[in-house]
Amino acid sequence: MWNIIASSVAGTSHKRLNTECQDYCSSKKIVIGDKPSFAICIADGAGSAQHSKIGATMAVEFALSRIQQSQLNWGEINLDWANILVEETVTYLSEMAAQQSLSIKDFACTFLLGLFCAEVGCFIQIGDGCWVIGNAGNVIAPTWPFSGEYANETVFLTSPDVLDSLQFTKINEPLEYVAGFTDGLQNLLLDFSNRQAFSGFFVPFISSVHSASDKQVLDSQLALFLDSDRVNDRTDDDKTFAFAWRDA
Amino acid sequence: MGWTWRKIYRAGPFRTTVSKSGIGYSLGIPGLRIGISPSGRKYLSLGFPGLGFYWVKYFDRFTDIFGKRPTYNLNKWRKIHMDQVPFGATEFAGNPEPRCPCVLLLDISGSMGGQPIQELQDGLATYRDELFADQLAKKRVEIAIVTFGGSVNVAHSFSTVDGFVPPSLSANGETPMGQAINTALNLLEERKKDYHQNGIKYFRPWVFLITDGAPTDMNGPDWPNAVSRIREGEQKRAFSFFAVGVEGANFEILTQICVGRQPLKLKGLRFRDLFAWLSNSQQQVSRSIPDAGASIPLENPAGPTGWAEVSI
Repeated sequence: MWNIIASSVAGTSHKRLNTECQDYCSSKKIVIGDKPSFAICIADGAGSAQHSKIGATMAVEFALSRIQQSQLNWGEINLDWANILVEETVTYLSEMAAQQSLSIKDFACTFLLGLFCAEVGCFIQIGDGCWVIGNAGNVIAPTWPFSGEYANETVFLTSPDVLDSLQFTKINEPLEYVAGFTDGLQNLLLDFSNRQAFSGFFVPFISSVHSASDKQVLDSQLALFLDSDRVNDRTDDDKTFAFAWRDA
Repeated sequence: MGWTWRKIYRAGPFRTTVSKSGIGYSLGIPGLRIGISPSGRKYLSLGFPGLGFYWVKYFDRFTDIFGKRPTYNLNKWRKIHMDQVPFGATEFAGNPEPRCPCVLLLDISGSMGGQPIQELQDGLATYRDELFADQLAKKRVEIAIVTFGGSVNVAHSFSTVDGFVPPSLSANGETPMGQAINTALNLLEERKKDYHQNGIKYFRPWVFLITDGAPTDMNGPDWPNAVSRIREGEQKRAFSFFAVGVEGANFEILTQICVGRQPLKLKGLRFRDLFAWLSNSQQQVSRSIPDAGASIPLENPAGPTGWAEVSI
């Protein structure tokens, strides 16, 4: 049985400037083929885009509804399908922008989509942030944050030639847990010098989660953790963390 | 009440007490003693010498003599507290902070002597203090200083804010600005190589020129070389080049080296405000994520309360 916890917390710099959290995260249970599956979708609005929070929300909600409506099976889920889904999402955002007389750049956001069931998972990413999974006791990052020459440059769902930067990974193996997070947390949870997930975080984390007696409390504990001094000392950006795991 | 025993050894004001419970030590004068009991509890004892009455206050973990909580040994507290913080057993990866490199190109030619150079010196102190007060900027902004007055000198090589000690400036000589610009751009290129070799990410570098005159090396190869390197660098987005002219600067010439933005004129000698703006802007840059190709909107230095006027 899968469980999911997720939290988005505004970064300290956003709190100081009185701007809202520009991350958005949502998840849905869906049936893909005949397998009960989950979808988690996260988007991080670009700081410089005027309506990036709205863009992030719309992109996530559209992608999840589209998947729900599509009645997919796992065999169909591949890179071509991912490209089509992303194009449809971008088209939707352009239409919404046109309706409001805005440019699609005003909705700029990164995009992370994870679809998984007990035996298979697929992970799509545009921009920064990352997915991390647990498989056979290993901690693996099936995608990796995209950055340009400069630390604060990445690619967005709304960038031209977005499909060139789309990351797609499908894993046909049992997954123990799936974690998705935005760039506010990537320096804490990824080991950049070795280009891998940082197991010093994920191993104790899954252990804490398994040993928690009360799952209801985990959501609020996660929110407290994301807003703790330990985390805020290392980042002042918005932080979103979604974690799904199978009961041991 | 069971039988017990104790033996007291005195040496001046020092007392060692050996008893069934162990060894305790104390120090004091008749009527007033401080000590540590065999179980490690610290105490203060006040009494009436000879009468046998005394008052004892033990200082346990959470109170001091005033009954208030003392400051904890932070690491010890963290170790106790970690288990109570959600997911306290997790660790974080130790990735290096991304850096925001900034080269300050400072004119210290003879004409800057007196009040201008003093204000510039104070401005540098403000710059350092403002950055130091920001937890992330402190770790991310890296500063180098190239001065030009008579000769060109790397007055400070790249360091993060906690290693930045504003050099002592004195005004002298002519204005080899072209040579200084080339030196600064070379310094920046070397720094980028260091970053690449060590896997350190960085933000788009700043080159910030402050002058009160005109280059005196325009006739040699240095000036045209500097101009073309700035133009090429801006076009490739290799850095952002800013020029600020103090009263007396030749703005027509400064316009040659400003691409996509105008040189700014410092109002009076408001170097401190200039550097406060610079530190604030760098704090913003080290946080925001612009769309590719877009620039980050900075607080307008030529606004009503700004330190600059846009030169004509």
